[in-house]
Amino acid sequence: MKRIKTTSAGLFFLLLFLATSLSALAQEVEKADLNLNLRYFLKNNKVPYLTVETNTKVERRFEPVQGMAVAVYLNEVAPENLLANVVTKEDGKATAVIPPDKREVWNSSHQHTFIGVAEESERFEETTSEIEITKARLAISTDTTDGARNVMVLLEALDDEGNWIPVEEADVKIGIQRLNTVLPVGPDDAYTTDEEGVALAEFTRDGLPGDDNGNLMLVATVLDNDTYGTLTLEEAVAWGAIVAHSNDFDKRSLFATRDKAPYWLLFLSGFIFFTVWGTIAYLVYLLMRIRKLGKTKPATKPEPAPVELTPA
Amino acid sequence: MEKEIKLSEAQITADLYPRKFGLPGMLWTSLLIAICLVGAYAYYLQLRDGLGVTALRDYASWGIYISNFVFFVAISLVGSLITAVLRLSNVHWSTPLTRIAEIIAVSGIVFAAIIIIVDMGRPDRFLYVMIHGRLQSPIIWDVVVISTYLVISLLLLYIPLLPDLKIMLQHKEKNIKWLNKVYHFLGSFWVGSKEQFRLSEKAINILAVTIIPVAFCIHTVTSWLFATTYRPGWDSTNFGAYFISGAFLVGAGAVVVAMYVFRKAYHLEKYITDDHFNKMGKIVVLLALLYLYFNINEYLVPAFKMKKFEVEHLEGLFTGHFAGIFWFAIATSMVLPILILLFKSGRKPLPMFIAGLLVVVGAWCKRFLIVTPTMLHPMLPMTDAPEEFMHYFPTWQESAITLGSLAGALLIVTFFTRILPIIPVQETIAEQHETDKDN
Repeated sequence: MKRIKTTSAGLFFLLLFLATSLSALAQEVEKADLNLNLRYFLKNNKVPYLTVETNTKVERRFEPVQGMAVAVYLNEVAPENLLANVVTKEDGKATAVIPPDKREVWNSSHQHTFIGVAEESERFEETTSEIEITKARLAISTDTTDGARNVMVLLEALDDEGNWIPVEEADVKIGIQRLNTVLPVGPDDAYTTDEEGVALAEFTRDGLPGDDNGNLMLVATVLDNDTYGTLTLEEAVAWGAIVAHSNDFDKRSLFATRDKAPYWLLFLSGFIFFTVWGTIAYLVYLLMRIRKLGKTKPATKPEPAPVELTPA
Repeated sequence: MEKEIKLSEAQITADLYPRKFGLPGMLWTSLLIAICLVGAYAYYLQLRDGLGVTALRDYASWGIYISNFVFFVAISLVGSLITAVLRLSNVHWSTPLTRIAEIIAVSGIVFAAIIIIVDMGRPDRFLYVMIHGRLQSPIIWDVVVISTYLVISLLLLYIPLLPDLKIMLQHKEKNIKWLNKVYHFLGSFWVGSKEQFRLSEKAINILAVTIIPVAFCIHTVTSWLFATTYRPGWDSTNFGAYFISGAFLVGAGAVVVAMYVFRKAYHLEKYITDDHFNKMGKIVVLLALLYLYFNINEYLVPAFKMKKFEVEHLEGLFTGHFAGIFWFAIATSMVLPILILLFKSGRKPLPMFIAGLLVVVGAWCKRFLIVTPTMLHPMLPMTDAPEEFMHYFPTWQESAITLGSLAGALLIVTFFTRILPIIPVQETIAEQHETDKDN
């Protein structure tokens, strides 16, 4: 009887162990899905760069994946085509630029494919993402007709023969750079390019404060275009109101350095100080007079005999 | 009205002349010296190892040192109340209390200056305050006004003392020998001529007028050390008046305690009468009501609005971590003294002594509550800071230094009573002559 009990207990614990182990194994097998996105940027028609963005779904919400290693390739996955190995930051993003040694390959075609490969990890399977980009550029020109200020943004793309051709029917945002955002130049947020590749917007923000010379920074943006990526171009234009900034630095103030105390404070504190210490000086003078009287002048009446300390 | 007792000049002199300490006096003095020595040793440790031996950290950078500083500044204001305000109001009954008030003021202001240097950590840095201080900073105003108040208080103590110094020099055999030289240096020129009396009266009157605005300045500026910063509990336009009313209260409370102790120890019932207690009681209850009024303003109005950044601070005081000490301070420094002193039977010496003691103890706690909880509730949340930075409880070194400073202030008063009359002898004789003439 005792043996049966021992055997049963042993079997129970064996099953428990197996169940726990299998469950753990099952958990290891179930890996989460990783979303990997590549985005192409070109700012001011200069050096292009890519951003790598990673996120995953956690309890019905997408959360960024930090510390994800992603290899970015140009055109095809091969060691010689490696552009960069990047690791995502806290916001799940990382940035990669096209290194100088890939310039020749980059210049060789009007169209390129970028491929991002996130290798298999404990949490995620290997994930690949790619985007195809056609090289494009922006140009801003302005004119004033009958008092109306116009902004013309030209969008052109490179064709396979190396010619820049206008891009029709593309959305371009045209705005003015403010402190933390871009303010649209007119009532519309975005403008569509015509057959000449030009998006035309009227500047209606009269009196907008500019810099010391009245310059405003116009910003034209093609945002997340499937073919051209994100293109941004900035151009200064003297359409703003001149703002004369008053600089209080190094001026006399309550928060300045000790040698820059305000005059009113110097005067007031000095007045109080010298009034009070002048009074103290006068009191010391009175004391000196009392002292002098005692030393030079005999008492007006004879010195009385000291009183006995023991009362009668 | 108490019956006037006729006293001879000899009897007054004999009664008020400084006396040797008896056994209780010796024990009291020894205890104070012992506390001071422990405090001095703790200060040596602080000098050797730095402010790290205290519990002061990045957030609670002002702790019981600054609470103690504010307490000392507050208590020192009593000199101006008893000596100046009552003198200028032509109140004569306060004559026996003037010197008590002045010596409390001097000892308070001396230790206020000392404790602020202790709080600096390195005393040599005080020189930097002078060399690099900015006139725009209330800290510099405080340094200037404390020095000024100390000088004025010393003058207000010294000038009325001149006639008594003459009496001391007339009884050299009764004095400690080496002190005769000090008495000689300080008062040998006093012959008691009419002109000397006229000049000293003039000087005292000028001092009485001068000390009032300076006293108001010293505590207003001390309050501005807090109120000029935008922090919960300190961001108040009421702080100057609030501090001054509290200062007058604690000063008056301290005088009441001292009156009782001196009367008991030196049998001065004929000079510090029940009537003095009754009148001081009325002053204390008035000041307590005034301070209670300012406290209601200071706490009820922010509590009514409960601005976001004030919530944690106020809840900490009313129901949180500091609630015990907060309600203790409110009860002891205001509510209980008011309840005791509103009734005539409460204005007898013993209940007055208890009420005075409550006021002083409560006032110290109140200063701690003004300083520390606000420091622990900064505008920006405490992040990436060690756990010990988020709380404050003074270390033994800090407590020993603080207690040492309190004992030091008491020691000044104690030694003063041993070497100089604590009640003005000459003025008491003159007042007795006036009473005799009137009769």
